[in-house]
Amino acid sequence: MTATATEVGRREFLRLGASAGAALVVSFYSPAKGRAVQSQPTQTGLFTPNAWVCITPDNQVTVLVEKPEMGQGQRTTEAMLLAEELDIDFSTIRIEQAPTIPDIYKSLSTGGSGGTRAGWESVRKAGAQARAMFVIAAAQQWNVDKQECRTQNGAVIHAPTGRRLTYGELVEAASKLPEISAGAVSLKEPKDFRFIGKPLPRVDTPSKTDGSAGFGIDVRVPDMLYAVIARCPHFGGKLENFDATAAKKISGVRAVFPVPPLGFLDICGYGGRNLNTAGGVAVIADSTWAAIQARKALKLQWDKGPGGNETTDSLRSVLERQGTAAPTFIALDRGDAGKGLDKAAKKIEATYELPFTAHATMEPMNPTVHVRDGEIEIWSPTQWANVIQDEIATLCGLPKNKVIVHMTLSGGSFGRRAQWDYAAEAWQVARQVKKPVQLLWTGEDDIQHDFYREYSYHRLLGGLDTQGKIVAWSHRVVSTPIRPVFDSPESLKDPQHSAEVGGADSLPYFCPNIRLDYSPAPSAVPRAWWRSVESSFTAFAVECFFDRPLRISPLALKIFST
Amino acid sequence: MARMNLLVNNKKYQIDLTPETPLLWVLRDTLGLTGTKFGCGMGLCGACTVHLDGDAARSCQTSVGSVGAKKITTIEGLSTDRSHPVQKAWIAEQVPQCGYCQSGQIMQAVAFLTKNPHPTRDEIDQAMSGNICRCGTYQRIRRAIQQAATEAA
Repeated sequence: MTATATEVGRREFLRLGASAGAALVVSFYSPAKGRAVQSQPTQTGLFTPNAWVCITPDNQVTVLVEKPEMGQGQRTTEAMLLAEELDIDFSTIRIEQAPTIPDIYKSLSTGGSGGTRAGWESVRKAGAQARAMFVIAAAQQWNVDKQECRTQNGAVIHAPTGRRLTYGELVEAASKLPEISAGAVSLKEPKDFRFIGKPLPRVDTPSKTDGSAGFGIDVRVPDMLYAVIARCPHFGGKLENFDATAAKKISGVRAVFPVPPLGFLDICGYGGRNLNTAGGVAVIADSTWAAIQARKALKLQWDKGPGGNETTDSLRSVLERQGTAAPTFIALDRGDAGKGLDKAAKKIEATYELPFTAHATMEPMNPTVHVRDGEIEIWSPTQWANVIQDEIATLCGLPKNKVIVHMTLSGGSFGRRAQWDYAAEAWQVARQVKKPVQLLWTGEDDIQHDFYREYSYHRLLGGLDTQGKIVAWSHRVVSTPIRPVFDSPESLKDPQHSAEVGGADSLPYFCPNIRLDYSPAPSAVPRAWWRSVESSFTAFAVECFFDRPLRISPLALKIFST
Repeated sequence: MARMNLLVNNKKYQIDLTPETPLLWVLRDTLGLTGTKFGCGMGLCGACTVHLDGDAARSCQTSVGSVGAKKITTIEGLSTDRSHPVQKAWIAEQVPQCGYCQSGQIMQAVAFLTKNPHPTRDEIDQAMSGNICRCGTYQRIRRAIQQAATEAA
């Protein structure tokens, strides 16, 4: 499998580099020259004008993609941005995932639909910088003014004489030139774009039609073992007792041991670190199937923990109560919604409730971790490679550069892989095994132990005048908040920093009297950001309210409001 | 444990495993053929689809002991160079997004088209209804199957 071959190649390289101590950094990146990445260190004659592009004498252009590819087309986008300014044939580009070295690659994560925006200037500048250096190299070789040279599809052309040199032919000369700063190069005018804004084939489509695309679950490392964890089924509970006698008899089982929960939610108050793992019993085996079978054979007793009495009914009664309780914060207060509603010709009330929702990626969580002396290597699909590196380094007390993180393709993410609990768990397992271990979450594990979209309850009041026009609006959002899962309890009280009412606070409809406020409902259930985040539930409530009980055409109102 | 012979992508393998082991894990963990994907492990998503004597089968629900002499084909064995008409149609229509379900989608489509080379739109939808795509590439999957059917005609 090609992708794995690349991964293993890099691992070997990093290992070589690591044995040379500080030389590792230098071999990747020479700060004095602003050059980086040699993905194949034994190869000579590479032109690496910056950290994002590598060109070889055979005209092979490799773009190092910083951000995760999880189906959104990031690899294609970055290739497109680079090809546009480098002026090459788009179809010849090769893609490599950038290594997790945040000192060089500042943008190893994605979220909030920011991938293209983040690379919009930096990747194009990387291409423009390389192109400018090829032009200088060619002009010097021909002994002509560089103003007389132009580029076309991977070659420099001397316009007056028609002479032509490919980038590959110029690699050696260009790599000896002093660096041109990214600030000194100018970018194309949008009217001159060849690739940007045009439909182009995705760079990873072929590998996704023949089984060769390397997802996290496909990582294969020599001597690796496979693991699953029987996690505590009670949020915030813990293991009381277990009996692994039957499990250990299953052929292929290597080890069974408990793993403690890490920093689980503080149930009653708010708080806790940005890490929640359920804890339980890990089963390590020669194959995934043996591990899954042995897990079924475990005898387990759980302490339900402080959240053990929470049920859907108990949570719903809290949500309902909070629907009329004093708000924790007021997000929007325009005009006088209370008075407006009182004076309205018609007052309509409705409530909406949306459940906890799992991300349900097609590819389940599946980190592979190898703990060695003073070094940890992690392969995983993730939305946040640098955070995995940071947090695992903190957790195990190693310097960041001793935590090597390989970001693989993601079979979907939708926000799930913005967490790093799975990597922390895999580290817990791998450090006891001393061999590379792939920790697989089954589909049931993914659904049962997600960081769910928050449960939310909406109480909406709308006041209409005699013509049926909206004159007053009040929206109470109640939810199991996300913010305190990752931050202090106080964070929730600051509407500026609250991420609980997004979308509802930027109502696209005009109404003179609006109030939007918020009240939380504590819960033991872990939750975090889910695709499109709060808008997925606030917009649902708002649009349903307009459409049904208010019977106002959302389209007409939108047109009216603009 | 039992010794078994398997014929996968026209290559013979001898394995020594408990016959209840699902074919999926034999392919992925024992033979290293990782193109076939683990999705739900319950036959609900179709990501693990392979062919047994040309018929689509969910490898997560197929015990290796039940395969016998049947010829197993995985995504890796469809062609050596993505030249199968369905693979070509998949590339032409730019079907995949995250790509995780696509091995299973393609294997399902190939088996289906072999039996029904000129399907209607409804027949396509019905044949593909057990293969889930979380990115929602269903329209392109349908177009690719229609294109592959046209080209084969």
